[in-house]
Amino acid sequence: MSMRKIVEKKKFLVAYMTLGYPTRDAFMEYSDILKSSGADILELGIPPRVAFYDGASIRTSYWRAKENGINREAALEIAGNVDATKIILCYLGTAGELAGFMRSVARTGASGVLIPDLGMVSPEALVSYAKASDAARLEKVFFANYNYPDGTIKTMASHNPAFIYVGLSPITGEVAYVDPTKSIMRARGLIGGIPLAAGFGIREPRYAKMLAGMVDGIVVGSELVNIIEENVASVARKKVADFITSLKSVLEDASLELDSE
Amino acid sequence: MHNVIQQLGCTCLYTQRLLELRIQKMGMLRKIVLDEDEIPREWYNILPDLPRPLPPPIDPETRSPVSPAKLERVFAKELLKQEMSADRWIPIPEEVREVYSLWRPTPLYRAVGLERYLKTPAKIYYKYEGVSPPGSHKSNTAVAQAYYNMKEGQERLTTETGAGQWGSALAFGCMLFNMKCTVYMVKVSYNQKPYRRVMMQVWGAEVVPSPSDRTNAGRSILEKDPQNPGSLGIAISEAVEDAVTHDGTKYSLGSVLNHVLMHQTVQGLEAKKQLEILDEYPDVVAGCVGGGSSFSGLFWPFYHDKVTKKAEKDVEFVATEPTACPTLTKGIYTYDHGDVARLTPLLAMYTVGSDFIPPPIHAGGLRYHGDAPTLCLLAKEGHVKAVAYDQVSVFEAATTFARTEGIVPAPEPSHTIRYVIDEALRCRRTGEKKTILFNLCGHGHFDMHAYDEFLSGKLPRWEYPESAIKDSIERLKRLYPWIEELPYLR
Repeated sequence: MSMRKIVEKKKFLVAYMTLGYPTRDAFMEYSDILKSSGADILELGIPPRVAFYDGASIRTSYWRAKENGINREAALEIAGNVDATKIILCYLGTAGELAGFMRSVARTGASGVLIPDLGMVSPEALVSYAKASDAARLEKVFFANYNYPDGTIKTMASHNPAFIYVGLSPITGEVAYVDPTKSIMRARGLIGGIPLAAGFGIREPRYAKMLAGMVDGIVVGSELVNIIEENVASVARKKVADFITSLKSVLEDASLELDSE
Repeated sequence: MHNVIQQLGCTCLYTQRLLELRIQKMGMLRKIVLDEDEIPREWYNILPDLPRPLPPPIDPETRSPVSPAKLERVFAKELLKQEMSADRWIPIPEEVREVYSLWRPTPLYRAVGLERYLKTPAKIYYKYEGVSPPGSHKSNTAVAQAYYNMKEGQERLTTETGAGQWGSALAFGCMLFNMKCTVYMVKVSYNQKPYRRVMMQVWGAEVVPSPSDRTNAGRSILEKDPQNPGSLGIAISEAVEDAVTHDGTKYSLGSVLNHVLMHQTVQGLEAKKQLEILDEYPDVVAGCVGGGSSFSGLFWPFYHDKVTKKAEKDVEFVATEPTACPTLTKGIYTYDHGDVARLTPLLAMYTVGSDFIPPPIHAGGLRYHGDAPTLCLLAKEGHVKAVAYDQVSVFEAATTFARTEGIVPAPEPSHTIRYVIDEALRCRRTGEKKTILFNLCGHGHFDMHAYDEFLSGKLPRWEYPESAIKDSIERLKRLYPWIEELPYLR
């Protein structure tokens, strides 16, 4: 099923993992666990030099991946082996020339590329991204932090992306400092019918439940790293599966509630 | 005139008849004073209206945006929420409005005397913030910051001050909300410019000459150099250290940050209303820039008009600064520390380098090496233009203003007066009937030494060399080479 169909059909769960983390082999195991536990889309990150939006947990995963010798090319090679609906996360500085990068991503079977610092640059950068994405036959996906200007968020929506991912706090892994309900409602008002996924600091199913009624999708990442870092491998695998299953169930319940209305 | 009278019907201070008589007699109004009811009820937050996202403060260790939880040790929670808020309008608490009513709404003057002297067809208006008890715009945020800290149970605020404008504003704000206030005042100013220090003490603040033996930062400097005259950078370090090492104590900053600039928008919101009464809209809004709070407070509401296409004219925003600290005119747009000691996060701004040594010019409030990130972004995107003047030409303008308008201006807004006079003279040559609005953000009653030097011909001209800026930025690049990789700084 195409990514667009997934996000338009039901409330969706995006699970983030850094490519090659915690090890190359373990990464492949975790990507299978994430998929089989209910993640609809895997967001696979290429370790950057400057991780602009990332908190301590994701930065740890970048550091470990780099220790494992993961550069851009190695990361894309690993991504090509992941059998799931997936998008590639890559910062602008690491992606380099966009058209060529998008073609490389397309060869991995990924549905799209998420560039977290794209919106920071200029409206023209969004146009270049959209062109390169279309040329490589990829779906467009944008990231907007909750306090981006109206104009930037509206311009993103005007490119008709598969979804817009709204970060609820300044960095990944940190719980929202300003009221997340307000942030989501504002973004919703600006993007109209474009599917909206929210993320950053979603550590507990309870928090996901609070957001689920207002969003189309939920993105998790830092908590997966926390689980992997804090537990021995066998326990971590089970806890990751349980966490994803519980989030998936929150989203399914929210979808049912929506259908019954 | 009928239109003017009709619009004034909404204000309580003037009766229609009185106004009619005044306009008939004088041909123009000299000042517009709003009623206390018309003190704005909301501050305007520019974040949702910026041309592109504001690069957030970065922690140089993690190379990521600073965690709000980390900043909570230093600032009040509500102020941090305002700092990061995407809400366009933030309600002003009634308790703060009540304090504002001590001096707000401030008058909007038509510079009748200056216009006549210059024989210009331009119309010159100025928003006068010198009527606040501490004598400048700084109290607009000092009062708000003291209020939110008091509400959160804090008992004391710490801050730094150079010549004393910000320190006296915070001392005033703390006094009104029964809070203690500790001001670390640069030692050389503490000894040489005692009157602001005395003013702070009258309002109950404790004023500590910095470097002091009260903090590790101060002690380590005094150990090496017991005669150290101090600097704003050292005073910041001491004030922050004091706040984070004592319970019930937070730190307070007088410019640069979003929430501080937002609190200043009462100026522009009032000025808009005052100009509306006269059926006027500015072609130019000008103000001086040290950190950027007074100018931003005046022009942001007009920028909002522009973004929402409600502006009647294609209004131009002009920032003025000293050639001795030419941040916007010669600085480099990059991430740099907010202080000399490199203790603060990195801010995306035009900077002349955080190791910039302030030249001894008299506009103490304009000797900051960077500017507010919001202002710098707007300048980078072409929404704000900047001009720089040396202090001799600035004091010439200040004296002309004092002799035509009566008010003795502070050296800081006199940079804008220089621009306004030049622009008005240009209008005389071209015949343009421009409407110019500027911010007279404080009086110069504590700056008589500077006026004395000017009048006796002892005031030197200062121009900061471009090579010094380049050297400083090179040092910064060597320290943080990764900054070059951030694509949105280009």
